[in-house]
Amino acid sequence: MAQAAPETSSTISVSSQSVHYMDMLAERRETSDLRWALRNWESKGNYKFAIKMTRAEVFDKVMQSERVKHTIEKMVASGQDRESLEAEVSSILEQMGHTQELAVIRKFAFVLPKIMKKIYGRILINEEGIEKLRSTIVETPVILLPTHRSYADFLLVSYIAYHFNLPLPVIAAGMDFMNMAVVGEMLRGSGAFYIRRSFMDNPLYWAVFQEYVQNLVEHTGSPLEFFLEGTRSRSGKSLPPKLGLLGCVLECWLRGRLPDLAIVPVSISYDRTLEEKLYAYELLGVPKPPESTSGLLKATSILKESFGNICIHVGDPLSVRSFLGPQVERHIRASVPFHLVPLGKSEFNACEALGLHVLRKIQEGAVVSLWSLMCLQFIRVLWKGQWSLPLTKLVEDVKWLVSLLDKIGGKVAIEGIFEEALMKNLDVHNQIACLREDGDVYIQQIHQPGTQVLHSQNKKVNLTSATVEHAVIHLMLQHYINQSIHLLIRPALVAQALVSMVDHNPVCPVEGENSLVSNGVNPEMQERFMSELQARFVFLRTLFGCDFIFEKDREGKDFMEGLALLTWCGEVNVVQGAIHRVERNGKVMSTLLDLIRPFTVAYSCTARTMTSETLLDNGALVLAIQGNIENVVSKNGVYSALSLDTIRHAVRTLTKIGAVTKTCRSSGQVVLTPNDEILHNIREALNRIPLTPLQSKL
Amino acid sequence: MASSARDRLSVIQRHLSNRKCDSSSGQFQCGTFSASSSREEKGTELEKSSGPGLSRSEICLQPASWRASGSDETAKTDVTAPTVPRKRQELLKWNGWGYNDSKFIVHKDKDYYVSFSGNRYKIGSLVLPHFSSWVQDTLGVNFDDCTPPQPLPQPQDYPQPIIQEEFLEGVKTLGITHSLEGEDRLFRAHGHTLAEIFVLREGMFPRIPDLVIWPTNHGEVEKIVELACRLQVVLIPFGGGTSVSGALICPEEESRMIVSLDTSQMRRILWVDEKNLTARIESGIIGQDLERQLKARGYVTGHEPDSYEFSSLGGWVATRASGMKKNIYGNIEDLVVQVKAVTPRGTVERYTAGPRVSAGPDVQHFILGSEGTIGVITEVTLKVRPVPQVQHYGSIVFPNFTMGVNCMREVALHRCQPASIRLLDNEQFKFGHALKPPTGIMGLLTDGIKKMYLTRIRGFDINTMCVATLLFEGSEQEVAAQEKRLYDIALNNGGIPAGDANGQRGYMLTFVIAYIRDLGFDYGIVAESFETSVPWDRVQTLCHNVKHRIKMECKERGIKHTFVTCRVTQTYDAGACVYFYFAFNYRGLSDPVHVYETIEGNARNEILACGGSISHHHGVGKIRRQFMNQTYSEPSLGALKAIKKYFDPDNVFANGNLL
Repeated sequence: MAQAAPETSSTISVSSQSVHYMDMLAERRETSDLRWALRNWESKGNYKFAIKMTRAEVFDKVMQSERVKHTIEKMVASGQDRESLEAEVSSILEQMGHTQELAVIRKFAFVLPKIMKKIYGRILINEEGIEKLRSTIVETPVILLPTHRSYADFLLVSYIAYHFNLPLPVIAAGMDFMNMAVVGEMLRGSGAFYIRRSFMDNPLYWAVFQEYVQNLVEHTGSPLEFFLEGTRSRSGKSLPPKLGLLGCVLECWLRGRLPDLAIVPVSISYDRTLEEKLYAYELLGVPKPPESTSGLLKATSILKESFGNICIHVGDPLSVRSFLGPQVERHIRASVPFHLVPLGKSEFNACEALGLHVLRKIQEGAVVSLWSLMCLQFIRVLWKGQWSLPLTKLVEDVKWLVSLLDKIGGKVAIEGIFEEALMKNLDVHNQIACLREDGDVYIQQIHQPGTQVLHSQNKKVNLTSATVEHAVIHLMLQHYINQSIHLLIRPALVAQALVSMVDHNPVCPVEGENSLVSNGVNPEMQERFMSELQARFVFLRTLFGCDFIFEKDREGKDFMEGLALLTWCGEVNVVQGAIHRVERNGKVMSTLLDLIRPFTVAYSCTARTMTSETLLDNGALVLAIQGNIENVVSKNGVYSALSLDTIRHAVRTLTKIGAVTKTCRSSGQVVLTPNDEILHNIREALNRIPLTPLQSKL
Repeated sequence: MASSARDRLSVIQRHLSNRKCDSSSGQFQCGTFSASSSREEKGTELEKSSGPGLSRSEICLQPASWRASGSDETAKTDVTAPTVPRKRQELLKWNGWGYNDSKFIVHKDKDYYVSFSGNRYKIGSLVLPHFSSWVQDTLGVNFDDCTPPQPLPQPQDYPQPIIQEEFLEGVKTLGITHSLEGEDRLFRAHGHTLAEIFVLREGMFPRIPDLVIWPTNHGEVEKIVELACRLQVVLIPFGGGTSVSGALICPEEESRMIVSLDTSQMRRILWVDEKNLTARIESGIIGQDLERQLKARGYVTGHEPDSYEFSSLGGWVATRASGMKKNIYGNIEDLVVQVKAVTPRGTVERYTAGPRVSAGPDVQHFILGSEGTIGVITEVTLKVRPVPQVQHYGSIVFPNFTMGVNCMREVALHRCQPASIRLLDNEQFKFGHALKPPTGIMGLLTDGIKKMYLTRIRGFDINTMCVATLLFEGSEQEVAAQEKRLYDIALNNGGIPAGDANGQRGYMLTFVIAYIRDLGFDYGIVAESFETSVPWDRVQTLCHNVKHRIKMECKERGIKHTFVTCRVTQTYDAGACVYFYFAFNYRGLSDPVHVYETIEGNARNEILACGGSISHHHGVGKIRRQFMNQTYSEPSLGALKAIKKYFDPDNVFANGNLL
């Protein structure tokens, strides 16, 4: 223990402050795992007002609830059989309900450290956050919202709770886990309850689910843990919040059944994601293997590899009352029985705003690895058609990026000397890039033609094998780039807005050779330029609303934040609220534009595909778009634009903003009718109109 | 129950005689005022009398009652003599609650200890040995750090009156008693909210009435209102001055002369109709005078709000008051048969005294709850009842508040409420014990045994248990039947009957608790109460949420010592009334009143969000006006405004309450 002391903790430098993290594995490397798993365990910091209920008591409470009884009454009135409905409730509960046994937790407490010690260096966590969490749990029911980047997330929070003697969380899990032999029941025993992926059209299930969850939150005092993003984010970015479960939980406060709820964002940052390769294929359209135990066993090969560190940041508890209080008027519905008041529109919007806010908090808590910045440099090298770069150049570029992030308070994990930290990252990711004797860093070709089963029986693969060959490494790099992209997205969109104006807008001031200078342009014009710029930024912000997380009602602030970085680095001059000079090809500008390039390519291709054509809204549409993107990227090399994730987001947003209109035909087919004007605006804003290969289509 | 007076004597005597026959017949419940027997004797007697029968298992946490109230004075003086003189300050505190002679006093011996002075209440002239340590622990009071209130203002300290000479002349011509004296004006410029008392202790109101008048009958009020309308003078009706809604505060920006119309001299019972059991009464009579005078004739109204020692009939009607014993007698709106009020448009009244009338919306309800905004209530016909034969106290302890609420709900479901049933939460339960007088050896012993029985044998947790206090009224048989029914329900809900002494102390504390605030002020504690009504299914969450919210609000403001407690004080078919007390130590805060008001405002928001109402019986006044739009829809408020506009187009009744 004593000798391990310097290794047990770490201080991650953030621009001005530093956050202290301790290593949860350090002690495990010194003492017996068995003794650890069998130690005298009792949680400290239990909810003051908890009511202990057995599984049967919870089930009974749900069965006897007004909501479930009322739903059954309604269904009986429409001709269904009461007994079979009641039996259905029982079976839903049996399927859903968790059991939480310390014995099962102990098993995990024994096994998990063994695996973790094998594949991870250190598991770092901010103890301060743990203690804040503990004192919050005592007063207020807590909702734990961790990021979801990997299966490894699943029991991490429970393990943390065991480690620090916190009340063990109850975890909402998808059905696919339940179907895994043994593991499904093990997870249930450790506190997981299972919910179907979609059940909005099943009122009975919905009623049982709501009662079950709300009972847990209101009475048991167990923190409820679920993944706000709904599923593992393959892309490495935050996914838009899923509001079903969140809304259900927030209802406890909205309906005045609890004085407050505390939401605790938990940011889990992996140096290296277990599923990095798998995700790349999935995003390209190779079907993922079902989450079966055999799949997990295959994954045992990963035990031979090293995955670096995990850094967990437990964020400050957020009071639901303080956040939602000013946005909703609870008294209006307070006289109607609880079970008869679904969420109103303004309440739903407020919940969404909260979801977005929490995701931003999660992002703020995430520690950005040097690797993420290195990947940005790698992908830019690949775009130039090269496969290597000198280490010295890499060090210099990444250092510069770190200094840029420093300006906006991005947390970059750098331990010790910069060069050493960078080398450590190369070590962990030696499958992707490695340093050779010549002093150059070489990017590895990941996809070995013929080794991956590309043509599964029932799924047509959309892309040529040549494309896949290139694209896999791009998507792997993009996965890591995306982990820091939230830090720079505001400046990047301002940069994009500026560039699209300079290139297309007659309003823009005088243009120099490489830069844009406005001298003696009348103030009125400058004012118009500024407001046009902001309007374009807001448009882009809405357009990329699914891919990047923006909080509601913060357009102005986001714009100023974005502009601030550009003015700080001197590439844009703002004098008295007017833009005087833009360095079109400045280092920051081009870095920012490169950062969002895969997205601008994907979105503009999506818009182009939809232009002037009425399309069926089905899986084929996404593949058609991907096909068009393939044509473009085979020329410009921006392979990560092929991500199906991005394409789906693009289609979703285009529908949302009315660029295409969804209508249901009598045949049941859903068709998308384009609005060419909006689609054109999108492409103009993305600065992608004069793309040569596409011009014929215009 | 408070009992200043000889008016209680007949009850006491009846109780004593009841008890004798009770004991002989093996009945348990017994009289509660025992002037003759010392508490130890009483305690053992209680144990002994615990014979067979349903309530024999009762456990008394407090075996005996306190000294009997008042003295043995039996000489009957004139029952119609008013308790409160026209110079209120001769009997009542000018800058605090209640009688001059009744207050908590801190003594310094080798340690600090607290006693309550005077002989009006049952804890009078007794040392309260547990109280000082309770305040120190709960509220962090430092008895060395005392802030006494300012002395009575000097004549030059009062704001200069604005005088409308013609009106003053008119008053003189009418021969109506009036006063321009500073004290008289100041003492009618306020009610009893925290903010108002704070101003009395440390500052001066920017605006106080310019003139006080004491009309003596309806006719005089008509003339005054007419005069005021003609001369554009503002009238603010004043009854007992016990408002806790800021209703009496003079609007600062009012530039017209403000006349305080003190109704206290309209205090006669005009007639009692024994055939129909109604009485016509002038509105200025205060509660204790009304009950004393009726009792002399063998009747009661049964309307006993906690302020009934000082509050007036007109005030009850104007605020939609509620009495402790509403389960038997009804709230004020149930008691009122007819009401007569003078408005600028003329006198509002309904001619018939028919027990129920279908004649469109009840116009009398424009007056009930009007809070002095449309006129002056001058006469009321109230229902009266014969004096009840028996009065029993009782109490039930529950392991926790939830079980207590469930029991209350079941009692309401079966509609078998006794005259009063109240559920005190754990904090208030403990607070009640802090106010216990010294206990003798025997008392300590029995107390210990009970505590052990409850905590060890029944598994009650001293930090979660709570108590319901009960008051039964009626004939022997009725009360016996009620008790049986009620204790059965209690037992089914996990409650244990805990004797009459606990119950009685609970009701007594209701009256005494109002005095504690004045003590608190001296030591940096501000305290206030507020209330609401709420549907049954939300009672528990409301109590929990509001207490939690207040604690969090305090924490956010760096307040270290807070005391928040609630009790369910009334039950209805569809819900209950919940009463909160809230106190905090404000040492270190610059503006405690503002902090308090912000927190209470947030607590009210929480109440409304939990399905509670703006007020159950305190009324809206000025401090709750901001919540009216969360109470009524826009058109509903429009109707209220239209009524005000019709009755009082020139805003003569400009106290600014309600809307």
